[in-house]
Amino acid sequence: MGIDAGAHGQPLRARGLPRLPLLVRLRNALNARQSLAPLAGFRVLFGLLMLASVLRFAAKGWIRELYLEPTFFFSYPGFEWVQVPGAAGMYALFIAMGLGALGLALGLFYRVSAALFFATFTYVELLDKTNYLNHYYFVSLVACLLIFLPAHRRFSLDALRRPSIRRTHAPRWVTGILPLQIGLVYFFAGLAKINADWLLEALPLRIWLPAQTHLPVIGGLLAIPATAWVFSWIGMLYDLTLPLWLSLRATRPWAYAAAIVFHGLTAWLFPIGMFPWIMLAAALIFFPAAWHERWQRVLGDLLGRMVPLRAAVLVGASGPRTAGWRRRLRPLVFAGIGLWFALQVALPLRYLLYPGSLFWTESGYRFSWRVMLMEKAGYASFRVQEAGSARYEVVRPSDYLTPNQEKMMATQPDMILQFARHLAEVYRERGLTDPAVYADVWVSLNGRGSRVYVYPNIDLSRVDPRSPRTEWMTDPGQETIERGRKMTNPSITK
Amino acid sequence: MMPALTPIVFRLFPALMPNAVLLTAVLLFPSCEGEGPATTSYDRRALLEHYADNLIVPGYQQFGAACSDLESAWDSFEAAPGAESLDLLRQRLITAWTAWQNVAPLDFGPALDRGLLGFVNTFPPDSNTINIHMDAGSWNLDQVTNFDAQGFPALDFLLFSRSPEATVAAFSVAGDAAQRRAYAGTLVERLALLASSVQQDWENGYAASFPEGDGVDVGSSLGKLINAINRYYERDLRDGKVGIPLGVRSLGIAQPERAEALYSGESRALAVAGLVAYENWLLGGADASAPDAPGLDDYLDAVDAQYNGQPLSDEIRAVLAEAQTSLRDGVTLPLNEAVLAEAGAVQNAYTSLQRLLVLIKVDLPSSLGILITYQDNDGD
Repeated sequence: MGIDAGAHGQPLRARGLPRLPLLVRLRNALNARQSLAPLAGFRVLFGLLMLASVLRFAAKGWIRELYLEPTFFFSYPGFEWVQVPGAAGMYALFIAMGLGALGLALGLFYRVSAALFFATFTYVELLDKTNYLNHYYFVSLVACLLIFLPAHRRFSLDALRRPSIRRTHAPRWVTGILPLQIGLVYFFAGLAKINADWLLEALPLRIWLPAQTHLPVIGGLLAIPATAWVFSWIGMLYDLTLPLWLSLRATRPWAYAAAIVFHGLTAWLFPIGMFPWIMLAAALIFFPAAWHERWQRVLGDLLGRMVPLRAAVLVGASGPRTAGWRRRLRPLVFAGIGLWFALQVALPLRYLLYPGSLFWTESGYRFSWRVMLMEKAGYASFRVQEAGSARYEVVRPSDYLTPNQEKMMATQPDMILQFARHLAEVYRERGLTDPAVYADVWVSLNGRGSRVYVYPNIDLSRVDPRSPRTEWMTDPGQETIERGRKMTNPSITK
Repeated sequence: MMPALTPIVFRLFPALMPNAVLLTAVLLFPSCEGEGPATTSYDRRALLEHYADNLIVPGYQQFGAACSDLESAWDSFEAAPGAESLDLLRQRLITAWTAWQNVAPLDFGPALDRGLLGFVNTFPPDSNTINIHMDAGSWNLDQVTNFDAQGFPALDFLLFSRSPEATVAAFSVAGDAAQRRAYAGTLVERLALLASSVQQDWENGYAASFPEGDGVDVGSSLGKLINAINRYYERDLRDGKVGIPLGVRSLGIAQPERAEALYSGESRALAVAGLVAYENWLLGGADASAPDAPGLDDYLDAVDAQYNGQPLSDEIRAVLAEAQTSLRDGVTLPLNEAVLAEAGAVQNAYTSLQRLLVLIKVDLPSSLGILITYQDNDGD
């Protein structure tokens, strides 16, 4: 049903609440009517970018490579039911995703399009942890929010088709949802950069930047050691405060110019695909309504020459008042919004509840806006042993996984466990009655040198994935186990 | 209600933009002088030039020459099969096979395009298919399914599986001697042709263009080289030559029949040669002969790559030497015998090989910021 735009924010008088003017002011501010142009503009750009992403993904052959070639998938706990629906099904999913994105851009059958895009995109992302990217998670979140937001009530084909849904404005508690979500993403991305390695050692940028010295213009700059520190600190401050500078009128152009430079640089230096462009488009939502109204009017005029769009598309009539049943649902809607944002704050901080070093155990690492935060590389091989026998077989993960899956698995503990359990199953099917699976994994974090990652004498196929990872993972600070010289008859014991 | 941004700011925006870019650029350029080494720039192009001109091309030249020596020895043997000509032919086979070990890891570019790795050294040979080919008098060696009916392992079977006398007889007086000669001749010719083709590909263009891809992504020359030498090291050297015969893929049950050079018994020497070749690929050539030659170890030093507080290059050199010792001195028999008679020593060698693998597959690319995935994808 969703949060709707029909609210008319009549200023509340402070009836009987003279002692709480702040609350009243807050309430008034939240109810203040805001133009829907930024939201509609966001919808158009987001839809177009998503359509481009879907086409790019298909053109690069990644549907086949990431979802049809692997024989094993690292599913998310609770989402094991999300399975690849065959080749035809996969292509159908992406076609539906593209249609959903197109529907978003055009504002055509908007709620159905948004729901379709959200469902197909999220389904595909849930297929395999290997392909987790923060920006995919961001897209899922935004798509989910869009289902409920009135982004189609102006500058859309729906508004053209159905004059009754046209609105020009909505209360701020509606229009503010996306800016708040985007602001949180930047803020937590900045917060995550406040750690000793990033700020004091300029790691991992100190490793990554000198690798790019062959680039024209900035190559020489990247060769200077100080550059990594400067980039690290500016990156942290930028992420942490960008939403603020984008919100203030005086600083907005500067902030956006900085965003162009920052995201442009990251796009140039690192293989991060569509992410910089999505964030640049998303940041436009902080731009004032007049700016959005202007380009929408210009575009509407252009299109209006071909079809009689202009009046309907741009000047949404004031529709009827919000239906009574919708108003009665409002507390539920507010509760939903509250819960959503409580979760958005809680998820990036959940790592505090887990023992061990975050970068090492990665407990609570995903879904937390930790972007390009560490240089982590690993190598994993597994030993399968029939219980009670001294004989074992060494398993090369590449016999079961794609190169990309193998690389991701080698540094992510939950995936190592999943693969160990999978191997136990495979060998049980091959006739071993009670296979035990041990792993020899070495991981180097921020260039400190490879260390033994998990205890090589623990049968990982029997480890409960919910148990603390420190129970079966080494401690990166413990010098004694760093040098994993012995692996086949491990002297390293827990 | 948020006031509309004034049109003035909107109009100013294009004018402010260059300023903002300039300001950001200035912010990003401070304190160029002072503190620490002036620059961490490393001349990757020079490194790639050295590898192409002084290591790879000479390596292929040597391999090509050894194959054409093998061909001429074959011609002599074919013309006059005898103990002496067989002896020379056998020697030349081992020489060419040893020269191959040096260039085998370079499975990218020309070698990959021509399928060199599969055609030259897929073992163990399939004696059954070889016999069927000879009996039928026809064969198609371009087929992937015939990888194990050609190359060095097939010649090893044809020239070493019998005593010298019996071998000479098989090629001269036996009922199927003509077919045997035809097949062996084809194999030798084919080897020489493949070797010279890849050598020419490198000499006529690839070596010149190789240093141009001086980035660090998957498609860069350094990315290709490091990915190739790591993949070969893991699959062919550690596993193929040592691990699989030892039984690491067969629940600990040794598989001596899967050793390289089963019939000539040269498996240990070939494995050692394969490992010595990594002095080229990791250190830019043996340090003693060309101490100033740039190598990946120098590149690691230039970016100050560490391993537990020590230079990573030191650790790589030490572990490479240790692995060579464990294989050359620790193991005394051909690997097909050693995995049964001195399994502990082979296990030790395997463990050392594994240690070097971790260093070159994890530490080395991670320290250099080299993308090691063979798959193209987005990251964040």
